[in-house]
Amino acid sequence: MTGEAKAAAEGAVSQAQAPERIISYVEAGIEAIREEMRRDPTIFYIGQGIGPRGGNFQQSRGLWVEFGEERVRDTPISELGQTGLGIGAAMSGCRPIVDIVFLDFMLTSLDQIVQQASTIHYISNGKFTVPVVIRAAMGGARSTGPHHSHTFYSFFMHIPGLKVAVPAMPYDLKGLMKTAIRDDNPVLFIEHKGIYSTKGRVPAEEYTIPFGQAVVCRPGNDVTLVAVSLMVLRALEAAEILARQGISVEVIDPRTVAPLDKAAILRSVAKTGRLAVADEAYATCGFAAEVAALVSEEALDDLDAPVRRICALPAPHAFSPTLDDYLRPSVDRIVREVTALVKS
Amino acid sequence: MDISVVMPQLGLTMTEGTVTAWLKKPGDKVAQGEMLFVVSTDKADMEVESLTEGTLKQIVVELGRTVPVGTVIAYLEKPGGETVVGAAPVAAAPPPPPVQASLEEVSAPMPEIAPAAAEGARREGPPASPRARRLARELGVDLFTVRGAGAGGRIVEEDIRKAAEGARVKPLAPDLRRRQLIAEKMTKSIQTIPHFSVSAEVNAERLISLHESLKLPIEKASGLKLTFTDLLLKALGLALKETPEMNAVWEEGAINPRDTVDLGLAIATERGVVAPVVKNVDRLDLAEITRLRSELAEKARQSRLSLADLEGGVGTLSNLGMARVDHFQAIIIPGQSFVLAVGRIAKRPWVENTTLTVRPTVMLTLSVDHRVADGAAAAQFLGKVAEIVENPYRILRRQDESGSQ
Amino acid sequence: MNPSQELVLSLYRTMVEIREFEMKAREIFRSGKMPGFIHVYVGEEAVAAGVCAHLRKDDYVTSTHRGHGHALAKGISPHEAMAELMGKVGGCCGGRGGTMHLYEPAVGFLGTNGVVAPGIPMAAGAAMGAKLRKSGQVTVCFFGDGAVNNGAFHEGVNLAATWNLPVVFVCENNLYATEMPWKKATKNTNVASRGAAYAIPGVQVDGNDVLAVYEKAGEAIDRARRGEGPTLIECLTYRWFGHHEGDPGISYRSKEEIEGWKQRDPVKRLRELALTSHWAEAKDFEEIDAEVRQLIEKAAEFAVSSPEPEVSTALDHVYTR
Repeated sequence: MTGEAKAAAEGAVSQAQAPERIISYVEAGIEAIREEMRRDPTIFYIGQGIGPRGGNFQQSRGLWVEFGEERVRDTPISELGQTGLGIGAAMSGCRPIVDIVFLDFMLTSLDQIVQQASTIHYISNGKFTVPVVIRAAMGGARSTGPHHSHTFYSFFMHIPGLKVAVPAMPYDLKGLMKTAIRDDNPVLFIEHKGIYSTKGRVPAEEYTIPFGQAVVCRPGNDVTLVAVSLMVLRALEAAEILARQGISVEVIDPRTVAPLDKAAILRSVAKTGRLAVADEAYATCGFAAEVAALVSEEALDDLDAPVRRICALPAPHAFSPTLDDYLRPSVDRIVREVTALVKS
Repeated sequence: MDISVVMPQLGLTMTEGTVTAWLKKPGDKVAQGEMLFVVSTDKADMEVESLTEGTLKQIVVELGRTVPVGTVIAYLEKPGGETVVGAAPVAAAPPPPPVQASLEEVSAPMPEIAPAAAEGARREGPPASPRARRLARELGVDLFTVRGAGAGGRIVEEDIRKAAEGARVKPLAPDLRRRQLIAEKMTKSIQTIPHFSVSAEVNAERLISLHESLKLPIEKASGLKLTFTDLLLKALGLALKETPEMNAVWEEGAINPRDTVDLGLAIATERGVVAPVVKNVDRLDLAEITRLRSELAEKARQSRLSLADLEGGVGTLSNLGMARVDHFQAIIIPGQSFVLAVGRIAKRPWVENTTLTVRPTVMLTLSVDHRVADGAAAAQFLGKVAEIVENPYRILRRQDESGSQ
Repeated sequence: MNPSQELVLSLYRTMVEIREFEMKAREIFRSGKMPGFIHVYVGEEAVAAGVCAHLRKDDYVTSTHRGHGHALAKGISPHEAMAELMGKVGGCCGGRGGTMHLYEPAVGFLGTNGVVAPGIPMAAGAAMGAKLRKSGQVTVCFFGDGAVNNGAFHEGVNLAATWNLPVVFVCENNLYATEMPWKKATKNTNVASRGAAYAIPGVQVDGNDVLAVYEKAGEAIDRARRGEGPTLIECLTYRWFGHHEGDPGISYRSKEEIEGWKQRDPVKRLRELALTSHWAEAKDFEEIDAEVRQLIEKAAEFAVSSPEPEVSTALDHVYTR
């Protein structure tokens, strides 16, 4: 064996033996952004508290230290201004990341996101692109309460021209964030505040995950359970319980909802005939409703029972933990609903 | 406008019936008088014709479900006409003297409507999930034969798979309803009719020669094959004519004599035995008997026997001679007084005078309702039958000659 | 100020081009051939001309619903602008944007806008991009008095000021936001004074004096280019016509007021001043008039004869790549 070949062989062996790293969901995001910012000097990151403090959820920890004030900058409380600034900068050739921190506060940015970001590429006849990533955390965690718990990511699914990522696992967060930053379209990157500390296997080497590619987290035969974000974790727990009851649940995590991997959902429904969607958002006009509609449109003859939406009950997010837990889909509720679905 | 199709009154004693098959499917056009569905009653299965022209719109009572006479079982769409509530359709022959009650029943149908129709649903047939429907199409399973285990009685995929499975395992599944009827009838017979039997072994030589000589002429005349059953039926008829006390049935605590000689003929079909009745056997010549027997056998096989075909017999001839059965005892059909069970003609030892010889013989076993006749009368009757079988040329006498002797 | 002949004629030409374009647009609109509705710039030409005269091709501009003047002054051709107004394929946006959504990256034009005020934070963003790239590009942000009381103004100007971004905020205060008189919309009717709230210079100028606008704009743009941050310029001006074609503009304004401002027509003023000051001759102006008129005629012909977009392209460019 030549010296070269030997070195290559050794390298391959050491790669294979490299221990798999376990890092947290939040750390995966930082890694992705750090890697991209090192690669591409046109990327800058703005938001409230994301500078020296490292972000309310520590979601930008270390970035300001490495890249400095010019590229990692705290903003005043002006979501509309921040978002507009990000869009203008994107049109001028930058790749900004605008961190709104709480999805709830994106409501003040909606005018910029919907009226400007989503339309510009189309109405300029393709002349301008808006490669901005607008990042925020959704969902309830420890009584974040009515103004800090929203999950209306489906608003953005509804608008053509926007892409929406909703990763549930550290591995997916890192791969999707890199893709989001490199994407020339405006991307809403929605994480979940309740899972920032969850851990998972994340390769050290660089990788990206394409948008529009779902993952079957748990294969099964009796029922398809599509879940988003935190609900993926709860769905997996529920699937484990249901397995012991003899019900085989296939859990699908779409990872991005715009574009949505319809084919993966349809393939699964063709197999199982029964579909439930677990979503922390409300049922009405939400992601679950969209999945139910598209399955009934494209695979009616595969359905053995009506589609079931396991969603937040239609009330504002109550503060009391008892009420909050009750209103949002719990593992227990998922188990009950899926059981009822299988028996129907 | 919709026309109701109701469970018809198909006979005196019929109170309820079961639709065992639809001869049209929703969307099909139906002509007036065209056979529309098959009903199974306490007597037999029969086809029922449509009283009006129309398009079969919706079937509201699923196959296999027993409903009272007069229940709406389906709807026809009349081509641009008025709403007509169908009266009880009439079977092929004119009905027996109707009982007023049954007509009243029919004119006020009881709408015992299945859940699907009650919802005012426009759907065809039982509720089924789209997946189940698709699978049923693929596997050729009739949704009407499937019970739904899903919520609200919905048929789901598993129900279709089980149904298909079941069909595969029992490829020649006998008609459940027919067997149920036979079970009911025979049980009732054994439980209510005091049976006893008398039997005789009869020399069949002459019967055989008669058969031999008549085969060709009968075939030439009618195109049909003369059978021993035809000969035996005629013989039985003659014997009954000459033994009038046997021509009666026990009804409502008394012996009721009959004034015609009507005999049933047991015919085996795929779905069980039926016994259509040949009327006025004594007055029919052999060619007519052959023709009638042939016709009834064909109808029986196609489940096209009308109620009139099945009613009125005083006794039945059951011939298992084509099988390897020497003799057997049959069970009297409820409403009748006797049944003659005939075994096979075979060469057997026979004593003539004091010489042991071999002759073709046949065993006749007559089972009788003791309420109608005692042993002596039964014996006399059987004796007559035996005599005619051993001297069968009497069968050829013209009908006006077969007077009393 | 003692401008060169070249500058005077250049400024004149820009103003006349805008004037002729807008009048022609009104004519086509009234003939029923123009979809949507237009907001014409007639009377305010000096602002666009005076400011944009300083801009490089790669400098950025964000504009408003009343932005044809900005678009032409920044370098979008009258042909493509008119065709876009008519929703035709030959328009700068293939007919997809129309009057309030004119875009042209080739000349740094970041769009006229159907919404009031979002262009302000967007301008700050473009400026931030320029700053990061150290390109020396400047962004000019045009908006009206109507935007000044909107949250986006506050947030955008604040960010630009705080981060010291190379952007010039130009308020065209024509005294009316649609039908809302400026005096009734705010207690502090001095837009320029708001600069102080953000600790940036606030300058007020006669928006109908193109040379004054040119001078003040020049100072602000230079400041920005030197990295000294934003300026807020308030140009006092007036629109001759209603808010949009179809609005006569007299239910909330008096005829006397309108006449008064028409007397201060910026185009006429420059011409008269130039003649009396001997910066140029009458025939120079006449030549420009004739040439521009012909140019606009051609532009109109081009727009009218340009085809409609194919419906097969209706779903193109929703996403890129």
